[in-house]
Amino acid sequence: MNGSTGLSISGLSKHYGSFRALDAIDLAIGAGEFMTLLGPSGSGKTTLLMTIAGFTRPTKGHIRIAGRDLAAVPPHKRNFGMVFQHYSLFPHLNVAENVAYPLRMRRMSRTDTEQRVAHALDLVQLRHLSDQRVGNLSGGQKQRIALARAIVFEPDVLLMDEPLSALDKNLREQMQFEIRSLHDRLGITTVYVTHDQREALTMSDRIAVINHGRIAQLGTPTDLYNRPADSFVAEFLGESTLLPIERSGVDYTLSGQPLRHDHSAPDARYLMVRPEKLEFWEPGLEPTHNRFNGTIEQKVFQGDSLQIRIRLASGQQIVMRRPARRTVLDRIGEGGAEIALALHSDDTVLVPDGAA
Amino acid sequence: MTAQSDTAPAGNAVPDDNTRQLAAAGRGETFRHFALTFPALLLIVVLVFGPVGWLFWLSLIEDGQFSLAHYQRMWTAAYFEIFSQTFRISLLVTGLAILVGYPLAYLMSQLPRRIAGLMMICVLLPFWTSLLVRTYAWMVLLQRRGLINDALIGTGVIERPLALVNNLTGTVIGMLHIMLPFMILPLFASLRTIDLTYMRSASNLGASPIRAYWTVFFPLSLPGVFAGAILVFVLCLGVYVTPALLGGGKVVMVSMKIQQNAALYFDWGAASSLGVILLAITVVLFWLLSRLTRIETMFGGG
Repeated sequence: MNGSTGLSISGLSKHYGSFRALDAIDLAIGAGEFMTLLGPSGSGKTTLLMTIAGFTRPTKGHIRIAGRDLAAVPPHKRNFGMVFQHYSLFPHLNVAENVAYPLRMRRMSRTDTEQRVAHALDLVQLRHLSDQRVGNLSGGQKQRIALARAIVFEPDVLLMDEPLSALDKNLREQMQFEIRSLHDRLGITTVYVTHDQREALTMSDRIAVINHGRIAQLGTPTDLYNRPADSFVAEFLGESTLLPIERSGVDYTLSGQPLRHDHSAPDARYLMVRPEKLEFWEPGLEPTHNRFNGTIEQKVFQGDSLQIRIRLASGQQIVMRRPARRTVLDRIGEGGAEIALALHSDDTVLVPDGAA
Repeated sequence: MTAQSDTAPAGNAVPDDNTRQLAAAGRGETFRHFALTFPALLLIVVLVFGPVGWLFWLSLIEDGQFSLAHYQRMWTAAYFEIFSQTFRISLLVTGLAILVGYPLAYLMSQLPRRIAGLMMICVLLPFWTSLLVRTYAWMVLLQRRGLINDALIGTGVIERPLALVNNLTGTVIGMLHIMLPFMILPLFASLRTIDLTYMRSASNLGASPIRAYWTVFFPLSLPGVFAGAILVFVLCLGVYVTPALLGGGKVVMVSMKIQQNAALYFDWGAASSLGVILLAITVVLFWLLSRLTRIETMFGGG
């Protein structure tokens, strides 16, 4: 199932009256790439996926695959596999018949069909369920069968619409790993929609953060996490504290304190602080770190880590996260104790205001 | 109590054992639940089992004595023909009701809720008119010099009036009209619940709209078709007014024979035995049908 093709989207818009569900989206997805569309509900990520699948007709724009424009092609002629949010397995067919369905529609011979179905079920390790009724399966099994059905006909692109949202947390994490490893084995171009930022970070080659029908930022998980383009991406992806900053000449200050920083956007308005990037202040950190003084307001034990809320001298609250280790526990005083924090200049990220 | 029980070992919790009380509470609850269902059970016994039992009893009495005469009398070609005709007509009307009702129910299930609601009122409107009125209306429409024949002759489609009433045709048309809502209502309810994501899914997997319909939507709609068909078929078996008025005496169904026996000959035993046989045949038919199709397991869990 190799020889996957890339997908190129240009100027894709979908208007409902004056509402722009998609606003001139440009997105090039490489062959074999795992691309995640991440955004809050109502951001347009699902509309974008449905437009790619062919269920929503765009107002304008192009969806090209291998030079062919698919914007006006009906869904059944697109050769895209799709995994739906609620699996959408046909209840009147058994597992093997469900997986064979796309092959039946392609009038494939009986022997080829049997072979391919067996192979696809092997890939998801559920061949022993071939004769089962769909209604008897668990959520995770249904999800795998839906996946097998979506890849059995070697589609050009695999589309997934929040496929894990109905599963419980442990199973979801296991399936994230399974889907990703299946993707790596098949090398199939994948477009994955989710509103779960952790899932996006775990699985994707690249993530497109969608907001208000536009791409707020496109990049690798590391890029997006460490260098968010604006305050919206910073808040949506991972935990963060945003502190308003002022501009003085060429530099930025936080409540009058100049900030040492390696990267800055032109119109930075906020300092973004990731809780795990904050350290305890040590002498000798001056050349590379910013120092913040404050008092401990609250400590929350969260099993693997300790969340510490600190009131800065300037009155703003900041959140720090440290592993719940003996050495850490010993260093942190009780509520009201004074604390000095250090933030490396490379982690001192200044971001402009993004439309929330 | 005394200091003795206070110092008893923790494992030996005899004074604290409430197993018996909990079991008693459980039995009490079961009894109260049964008590709650009692009025409904009583109603069923009084209204269903009572009359049916009485029917059985009457059918076995001839001239005040126990006898199988009523059943023996039915072992003739004439009676066989009546039963056969009853089932044939019922089957025909059920089949036609599926053919006419399905497209309508399908259309309604795909329309926006408001428009579907309006259509539903149109379907139900004749339902609220008297059965007798509707049947006489059909006589007016279908007779030799009725509206339909006049219109067809007027437009030159036919030269001589068609025999549309006082025969099987009239009976079937009239029954179909009366039965249609009983087909459309359960069918519509069932089609409405079919998740259209299945159709998207089929389309995504390469099925054209027509193939998606026949391979996915249609099989999923069959339980609704069965539900409607069973309802219509059973109602058809017992229909009296329509075949009596529109059949012109040429169509004799079991219900009419029952009426004859009861009202004309005052022979309640003969009438009852016909009812019993009709009931028995119907029950056997449905038992066979349920064995053959296993509807629930086939389509269960949409």
